[in-house]
Amino acid sequence: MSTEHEQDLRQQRSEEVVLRAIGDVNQLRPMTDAVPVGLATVFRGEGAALDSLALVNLLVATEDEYRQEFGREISLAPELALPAEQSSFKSAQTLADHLAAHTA
Amino acid sequence: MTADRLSLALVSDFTVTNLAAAFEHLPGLPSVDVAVAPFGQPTQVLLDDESVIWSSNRDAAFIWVRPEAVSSAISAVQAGSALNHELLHAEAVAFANAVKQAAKRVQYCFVATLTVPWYQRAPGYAAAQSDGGTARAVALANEYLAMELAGIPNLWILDTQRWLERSQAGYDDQLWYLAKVPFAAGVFQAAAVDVQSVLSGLLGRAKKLIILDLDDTLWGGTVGDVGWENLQLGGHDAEGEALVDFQKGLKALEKRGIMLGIVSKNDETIAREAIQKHPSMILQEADFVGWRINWQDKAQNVQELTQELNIGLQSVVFIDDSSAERARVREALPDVLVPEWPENKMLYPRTLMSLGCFEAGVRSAEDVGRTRMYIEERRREEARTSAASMGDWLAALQLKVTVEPFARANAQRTVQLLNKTNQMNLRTRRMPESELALWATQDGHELWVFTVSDRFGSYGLTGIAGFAVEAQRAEITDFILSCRVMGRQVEETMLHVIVERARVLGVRTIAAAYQPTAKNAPCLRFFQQSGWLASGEDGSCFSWQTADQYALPSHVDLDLLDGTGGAR
Repeated sequence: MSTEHEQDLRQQRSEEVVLRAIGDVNQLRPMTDAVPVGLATVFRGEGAALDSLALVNLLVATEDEYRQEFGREISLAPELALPAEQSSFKSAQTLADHLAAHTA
Repeated sequence: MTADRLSLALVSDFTVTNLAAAFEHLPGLPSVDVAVAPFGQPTQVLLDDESVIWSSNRDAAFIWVRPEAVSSAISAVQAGSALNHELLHAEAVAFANAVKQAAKRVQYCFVATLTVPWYQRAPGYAAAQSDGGTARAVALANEYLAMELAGIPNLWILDTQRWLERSQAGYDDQLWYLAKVPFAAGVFQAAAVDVQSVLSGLLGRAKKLIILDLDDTLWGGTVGDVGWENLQLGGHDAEGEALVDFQKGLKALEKRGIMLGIVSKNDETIAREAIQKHPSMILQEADFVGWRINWQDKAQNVQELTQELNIGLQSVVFIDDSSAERARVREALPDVLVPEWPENKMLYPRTLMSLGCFEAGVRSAEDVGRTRMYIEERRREEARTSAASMGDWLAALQLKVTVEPFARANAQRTVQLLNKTNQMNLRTRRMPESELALWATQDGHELWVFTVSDRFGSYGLTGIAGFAVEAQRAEITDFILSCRVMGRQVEETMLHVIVERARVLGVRTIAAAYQPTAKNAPCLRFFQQSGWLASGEDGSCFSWQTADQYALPSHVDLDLLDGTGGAR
């Protein structure tokens, strides 16, 4: 059983993974259309910042960053296939929460 | 188009949005504005003059397709069938013809070689076999493309495999299945860097001179401490072998026209003895256009050496293992490119070849012989300092100027000179070969090129004069002379030729309107002292009445080749 401190650390590292992934995605977008790098950023649904290609780029970037951070694989494609409200790709925060839960 | 910003059309059968973004994020110049052709119809877009992608003037096109988009023969091989050689050839020719159509609409056209992922080349034992391997089929298709597209002056075939290997990411299956993007981001970034690098070279921004440190850069160890016999270079030593390969890389660049120089804190006698005597030295003294081997500030030495060679600092790369020396040169001479340099000597060859700043796009005879020409120049300079007067020196040079019309045989070098020359350049017109060739064939347009030599050797094609005639008036459009021969009265010789040719054509007045840039003040100074009549508010418009001859400098031997119409 992990301690509260370990959970906090996993959460923090997962959030950093997502923020770095957003940075990677911004390298694949026009500079005038950069996605805000923050946990409040909405990816899908109302007020969403990402189009479909950007979401795919985010998926690939997040998997890469996750592999580098935690040294293991994660497959996020099923999450992208879910409706926006149920998907962990709803926002940066929900995606980070999903990563942290997966890592536990 | 400006020299700093170009418009590029991307034509592909896959999603290229990430590639477009890679171009936008590139540092350096030229900046590239990307327009993406309609998705998934590369051949149609290439053949269709009316396609929306061509509706705006594009400076360049970049065509990158998967083999499946242009060859059913390759698809069949991937599906397990035997290779149909005739079909493969016919499809490659058809694609090449479509590419040729696109190349007619732009100034610069790039085509990426065809590739397939390694896992689509299975089974490995058959991949390269002549009777059915995918690797073999793709290699043949690329060979057919190269043959069909050879000789098109504004078209370059770029190596996709290089981008795949450089990025170390390669194909990305998720991006493909989810978004029809076949490659990882790094592949697109490597491709964009290569395209920008070639464009930069074509626009005259390629680096011309590499200035090298010696100790722990060209060889391992400090020669002043250990002696040339104990330097780390070649032999049964990993770093020594890498340094030999580094020198081989430099030698290859030198053969392509990139000059080499030395700036080193050393005793000159000791350092030169090492260059002359070490058996593993690939580079010899004759490979260097100049050197400053002393104990002075390296930035000062770099500046002096480039001044001696009459080369702008923006054309110089400085390579030194010392981070302190690199920082010093960066700070003092910000126009000089000072790349970060690895501590590990085994990475030197790769680092040199990954700089990507020597891509001139085209390579003329002058490029290849550039080092020889600068060594000849050093001998001229020695003769000048020993001459009693400027007149004596000019007379002793035995200068010969050969004039001929712009033609296919001299087009490559002419365009290179047109797009590179900054100082002695009246109007700084920049254009690709196809555009210049079109201009030169129009009625009333005259375009001549000047080749200069003297008793020390040839300077090559170093001058261009162009003018447009309307009624009895001629307007000079191009008056261009390489800085290599400035100040030897080749300028006056060019004006003599222009005036004599204009007289033959019945022109009464010749006008030269100076167009200022940040670098062409020497051209204005020349015209101010040329004897031509200055007019205009700022005195930068010049004219000559052809009732008067313009004298040929007495020390110049002028040779007019066929087609110059007796402009003697």
